[in-house]
Amino acid sequence: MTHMFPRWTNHLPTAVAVGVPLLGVAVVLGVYYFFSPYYTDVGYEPTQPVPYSHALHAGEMGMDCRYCHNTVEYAAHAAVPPTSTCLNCHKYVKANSEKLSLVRQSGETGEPIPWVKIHQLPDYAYFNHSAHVGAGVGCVSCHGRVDQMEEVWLHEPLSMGWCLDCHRNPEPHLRPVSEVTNMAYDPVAAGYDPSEDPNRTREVNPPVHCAGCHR
Amino acid sequence: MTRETISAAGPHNPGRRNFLSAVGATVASLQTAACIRKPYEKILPYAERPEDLVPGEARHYATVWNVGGAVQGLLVRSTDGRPTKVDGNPNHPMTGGSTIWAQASVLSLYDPERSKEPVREGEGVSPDEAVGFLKKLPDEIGDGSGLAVVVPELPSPTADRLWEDIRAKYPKAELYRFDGAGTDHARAGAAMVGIEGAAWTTDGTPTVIAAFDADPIGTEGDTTAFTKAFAAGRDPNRKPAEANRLYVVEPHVSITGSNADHRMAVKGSEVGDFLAALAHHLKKGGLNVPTLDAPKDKLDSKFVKALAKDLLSRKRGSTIVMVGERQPAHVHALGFVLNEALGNFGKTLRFTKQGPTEVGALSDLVRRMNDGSVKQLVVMGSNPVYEAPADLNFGELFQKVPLTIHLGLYRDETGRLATWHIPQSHYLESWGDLRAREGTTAIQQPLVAPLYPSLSPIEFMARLTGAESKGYDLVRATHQGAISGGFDKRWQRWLHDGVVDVGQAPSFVPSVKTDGLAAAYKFRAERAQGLELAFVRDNAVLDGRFGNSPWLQELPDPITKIAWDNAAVVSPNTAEKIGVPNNLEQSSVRDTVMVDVSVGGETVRLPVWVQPGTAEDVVVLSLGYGRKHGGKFAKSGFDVNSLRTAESPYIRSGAKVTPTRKGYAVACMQPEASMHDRPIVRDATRGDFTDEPNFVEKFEVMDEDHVASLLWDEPEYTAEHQWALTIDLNSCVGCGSCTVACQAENNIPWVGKEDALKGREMHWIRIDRYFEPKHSDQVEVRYQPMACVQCETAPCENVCPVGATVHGPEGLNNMAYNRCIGTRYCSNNCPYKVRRFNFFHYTVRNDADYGMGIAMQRNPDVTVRYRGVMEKCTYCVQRINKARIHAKVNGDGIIPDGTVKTACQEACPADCITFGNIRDPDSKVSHTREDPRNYAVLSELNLRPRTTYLAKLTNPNPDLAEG
Amino acid sequence: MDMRVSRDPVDRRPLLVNPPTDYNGVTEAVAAPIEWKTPMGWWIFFLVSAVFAAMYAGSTAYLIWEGTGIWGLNVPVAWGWAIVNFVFWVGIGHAGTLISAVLFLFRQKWRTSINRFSEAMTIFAVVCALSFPTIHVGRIWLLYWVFPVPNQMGAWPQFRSPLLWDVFAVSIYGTVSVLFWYTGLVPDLATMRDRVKSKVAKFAYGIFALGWTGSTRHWRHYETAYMLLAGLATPLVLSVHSVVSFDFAVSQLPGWHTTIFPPYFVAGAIFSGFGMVLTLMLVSRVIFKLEHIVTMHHLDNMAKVVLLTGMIVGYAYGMEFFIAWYGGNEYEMFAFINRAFGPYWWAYWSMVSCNVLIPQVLWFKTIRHNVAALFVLSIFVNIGMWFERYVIVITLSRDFLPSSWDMFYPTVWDWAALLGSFGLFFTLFSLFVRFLPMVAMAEVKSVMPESDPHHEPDETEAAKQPATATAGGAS
Repeated sequence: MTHMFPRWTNHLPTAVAVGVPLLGVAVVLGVYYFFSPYYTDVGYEPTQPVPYSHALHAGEMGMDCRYCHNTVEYAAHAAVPPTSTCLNCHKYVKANSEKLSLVRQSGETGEPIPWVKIHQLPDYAYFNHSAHVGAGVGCVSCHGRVDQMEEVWLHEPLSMGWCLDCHRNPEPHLRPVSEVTNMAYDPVAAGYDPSEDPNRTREVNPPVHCAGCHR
Repeated sequence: MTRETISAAGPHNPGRRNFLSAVGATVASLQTAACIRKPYEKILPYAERPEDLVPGEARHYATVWNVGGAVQGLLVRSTDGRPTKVDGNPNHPMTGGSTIWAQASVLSLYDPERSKEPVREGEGVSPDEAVGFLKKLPDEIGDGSGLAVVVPELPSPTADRLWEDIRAKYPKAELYRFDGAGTDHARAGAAMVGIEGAAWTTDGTPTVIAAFDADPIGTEGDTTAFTKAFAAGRDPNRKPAEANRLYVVEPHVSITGSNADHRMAVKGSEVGDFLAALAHHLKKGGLNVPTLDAPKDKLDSKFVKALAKDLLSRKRGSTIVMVGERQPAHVHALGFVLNEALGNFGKTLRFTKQGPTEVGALSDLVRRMNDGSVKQLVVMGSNPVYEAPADLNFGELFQKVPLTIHLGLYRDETGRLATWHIPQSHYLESWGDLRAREGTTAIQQPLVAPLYPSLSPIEFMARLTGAESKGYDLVRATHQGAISGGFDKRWQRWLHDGVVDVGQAPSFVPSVKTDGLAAAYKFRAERAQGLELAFVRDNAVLDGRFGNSPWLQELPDPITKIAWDNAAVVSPNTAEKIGVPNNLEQSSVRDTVMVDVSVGGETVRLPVWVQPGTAEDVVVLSLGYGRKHGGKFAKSGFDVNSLRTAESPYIRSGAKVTPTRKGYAVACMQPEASMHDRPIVRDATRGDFTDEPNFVEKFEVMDEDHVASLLWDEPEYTAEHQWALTIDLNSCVGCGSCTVACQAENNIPWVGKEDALKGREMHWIRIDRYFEPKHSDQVEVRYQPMACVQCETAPCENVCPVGATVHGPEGLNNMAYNRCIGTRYCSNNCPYKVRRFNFFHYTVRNDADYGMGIAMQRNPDVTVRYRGVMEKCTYCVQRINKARIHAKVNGDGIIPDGTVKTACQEACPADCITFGNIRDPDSKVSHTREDPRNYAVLSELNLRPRTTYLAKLTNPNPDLAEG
Repeated sequence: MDMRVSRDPVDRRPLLVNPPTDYNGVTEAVAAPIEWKTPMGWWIFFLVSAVFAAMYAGSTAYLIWEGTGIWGLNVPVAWGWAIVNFVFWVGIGHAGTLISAVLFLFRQKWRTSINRFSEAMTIFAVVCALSFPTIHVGRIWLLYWVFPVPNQMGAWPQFRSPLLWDVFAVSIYGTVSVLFWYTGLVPDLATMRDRVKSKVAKFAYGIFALGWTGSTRHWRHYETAYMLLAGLATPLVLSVHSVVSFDFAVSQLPGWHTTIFPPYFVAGAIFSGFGMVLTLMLVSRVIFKLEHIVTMHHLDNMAKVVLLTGMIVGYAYGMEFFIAWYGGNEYEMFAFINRAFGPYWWAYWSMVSCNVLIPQVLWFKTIRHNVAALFVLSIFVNIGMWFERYVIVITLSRDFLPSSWDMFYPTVWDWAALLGSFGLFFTLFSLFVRFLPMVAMAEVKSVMPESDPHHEPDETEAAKQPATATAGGAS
């Protein structure tokens, strides 16, 4: 019979038999990583309507997070401050700065400043700041060194798996409640042991069941 | 797009994030499909955050509202300025739980079909124009000789005060009362025996309750307060002499009737005869009652004799005879006389002095309209054009009046014909005050600024006098005088508590004069032939005012289980006589036929429905359906007002019913009514209970040790909180408040009639209603609220391929909506069938139906479910989580008993739901579970449900024991 | 009228009636339908099927767009025709593997004429079957969650769920069936490669023939591989439908929660499978002139299998009732009484008559040898087996609490999916008969007289057994 296929094609079946499964694995792993927030979300740094610098306020000036995000200790949301909070100082400081025009305008008209959301959970995931702050989870654990960010960017993937890592084994991420907003504090370096902390009335047992976060 | 909604809601910004949450959740749930970058979202913080507001945190405010004179104190939850939930205010004396109407009222606030602008002769005009018109109005009215004002039942001190002002300004003006849920017959009856300028309500816990065509649990009077008392009176621990016994005489099966220990189904026109017969027997029993003639057969009635004996046997002043609004005045008159004779005045029947006295009835007004002496007609907050009996032919006369002004929440049938229609503010937008029949006043405070330019009733009344005062000042002005000094502090407390602690309407004990009675109490010698029509206020939409609430439209009628429709309800025998099939006996229960109901030349075509327990030769027609201009939802059903007469608005004899060939599908939400002898609802008489306290065990189909063996490892529940819930079937009256409350709390969509017909309702808690359809006019109804029972060994969990429903450590059967892929296997394997599936994208359909309004109502603490997802009750886990977090942040993490109340529990007027932690032996729920009446439905399946039931106890009169 | 009768080397039963004179004759006969100029009839059949298949695709698209609500589903009946069709098609998919693998292992030579055919049917049936559970879920775009792949949610499928077992059971079954079918095809593909003229066809057959030369070495590997696959496939015949039956048996619903389900489902599956094979075979053998290869003898055997399995199924029906009564569980008892006399009595009795009563006629040889009668009967079997699944699923309509009882009414979309799936099935099938040898030439040759080691061509031999010849049912 005529040879319509070159000799090398004899190896095709073997190649296919081996290649296809490998490809499958590659695809799964590819999706696992490249479609994950680790890859897609971390580092997200949109430009904000007002060039507000956390590095300056929280970093250099060492303002406490809670001056602006004042509801963090008793509410689910760490509320983004109203314009009036900015104006408390900026009525006097840099009162005519070009950069702050939008703030002043907002203060006059009552129009909100359209900040761009960075730390964004799906709406079916219910995160509560007070619960975490109360348990002594530092701001830095989820938000990174905001005090060193000129413009805030997403430091952690905020994916379910990432949440669970901590919920399943919280101890390494705990610190004295007094140190929650201390960005520089490192529980490991400080050799902090939650079980020894006299200010802790109860042991931390974060929920790992669905209804803990989904309802 | 968020901007409009924000400005629309007035000075308070509604919560932007939460608002977005509600709408955005559907988008968000898509994200699980592929881990792509999340959508671009803005954060719009307040420019100036109100001091007391914490973004995302709910706050509660006290207010008050009234339906047909029944005043109820309310607590309203507001999240970021959006009212999202309404509940009863425990501080208010007339409140236990809340009515379905109060629960649904939060939705009506956002109803996109509310009237949004003033309308002059069909043309929308600017608010300023309307204001200008009202300014000039007084000159036009002059001395008021042509002015007639129609007011609804509005027991408000401020309104009374303003009415006096109007009187002063226009001495010749006339005031008329019209309210579809009003009490005209009762008032007239009271007047006949000389009781005037008074309001009355039941008080305490009566022992014998004789309801003559009265529905105090369902549609008449202060239902929640009465229900609470009624339920309390059935407490098994009461001494037999104090345990209440409910006798009901009525043509249709009312909610009250369905809870009766003894019920007699008779024509509405004969109820009075039975009351007369009762009077006769009571007189024989030595009571001071005028002699009245009663037909022989009624006198011989075993039922009436037994009732009389029972009444006489109880402690004086501990019983009550109730007459329903459907009965004519003279029957009410006799009712008062009997109560007076039984010593119930001032005991179980409380009178308080209130209300302007010189108020005419609608018929008086119509007389004046006929002779053309009415020049300016003002209709406030009622809808006579739709509701008034046809023979008054109000609509036509209304158009003849030179100037007609209508104040209403909707531009309804009356609003359309009026020269001027002025939008009325929703009660959640208005300042006001209301005085309960029992005497307590409460301040009505708004939760949002009016969404649309509108006037509250009192503001409108002020305008009539030419004043432009704001509601706030009007109310304060009324009460300022009440106390001397420190007003603001007191005012603050009133607002906080929801009740005013001064200026109670004084209670008094009126005397009755019986002389006129015998004359008034004459029977038509000839008994009406043919079928008798019984017009009843609907259990869901009442007189039609609530017709545009999809929640209420979809709430199945407690008795017939019909949603989205009314029907010509007849007994099985009557159906046979008429010549229509008994739909209950065919496999497709929902398929019935249209019939022509005709009387006095008028004909209405509507579907027929068979309901055992309905009196023979009676056709029950519920009011409030088939509205022409009530909004898209209010259109459903059939308008029967054209068959009514002013002379006897609720009872009409000599009707004919002719079947047609036309078929019709009625959305009955529980096609099967029989329990098939399964031990589902367990009950016993009080007597049997005392003899055998553990009677529930008799019902078990499998012996315990046999059930107790598990093939697999015991599930371990070690968390410090173990949630459980018990439902006391002995106090549940089947009203349905829990269903609507759950819908409001958990963002449960309505599915519409089409899907309801297919059996796809979404209610997380439904009320199962059982009776044996075999009986004809006698029927024993059993109610059983049924929601997910949170099985400890839940069959739904192990069949889900993706683990979307799994157990939490606290015994909750969690449902992770965003994990569900919708195989529906869990529903198949759920023996209680309490899981609900989003066969379509009902949420989005609701958005389309209702605009952004529905999103404003949604509870930001509960995920909005996507299409193709299973959902169900989780004991309001969002409330549990809130409480747990609070406990953890501010303490040892232990949630004290009673902190967490489920939505259904909060709403229940009968207090039949108990929820709590069974790990704590002293918790209320632990105690209820030790009650001998405690049992689990389908216990033989060994599912160990966390929801258990307390068996029902009936309290029959031994003299009437059957057989 | 001289007639050659070839003999089964094993038991001397005539297998092929009036076969072609030699191996080449077989090749010619089988290859003929492929080499014909496409007949009009084929086009009509193909296009009609394709239209229905398109309808299936369309209705599915709408389903995914609008939601499962377009079907008549509700609570309590949350599973409807989708699951009925799923089980129905899986069942059909049984005969193939059974005939190929089990009969092969039992050295049932008569299978050679029909195995290719039924294997193809199996695969197409499994394709249809798999489509239903796929589209019936509420959020199909998340279906990949049932596969244990690593993900950012740190969530895994739930291995306790019978549905998950299904996923594996059916997909494995599908895979093995395809391999088995394909392996068997290789020699014949090679034959086609060598016969066809057009370059394209040559190339296409060539690729899939995997360079088959027919060398002894190839044959030896082929035989071994085929044997191994047969060994692999055999347990699957039992496992796959047992697992499918777990969907019901593992639940706790009255009428579902029954230990008899696995064996009863397997028997039913074989029953329905053979029913479908008969339906298709009876038609094809006439159209493609294969009467001398697929003989009365084959039909007779298949009819007997149908009769047997039909009676097993009948026994199961009876036993269900007995256990329901004997078990003394009132819910169970009600479920079965309700099946027979409740609102869906008609479905139940159609099932019983189609599956148990009507097949009894197969006791009569005249029926077993009457092509028309067999065809009608096979249709009844198909219908009956569909109803069996319907009866089982519709049991949902009345379970524990009467308050939640409700009826199921199919919508036009339910019909579209059901008929559409048949469209899909026959589309694939018509493609198969057009482009692939529908009889395993190589295997048929192995049972020809020529392959009998003791065969000596003797013209008079046939004349010695005229009886057998006629017994073979001469056409």
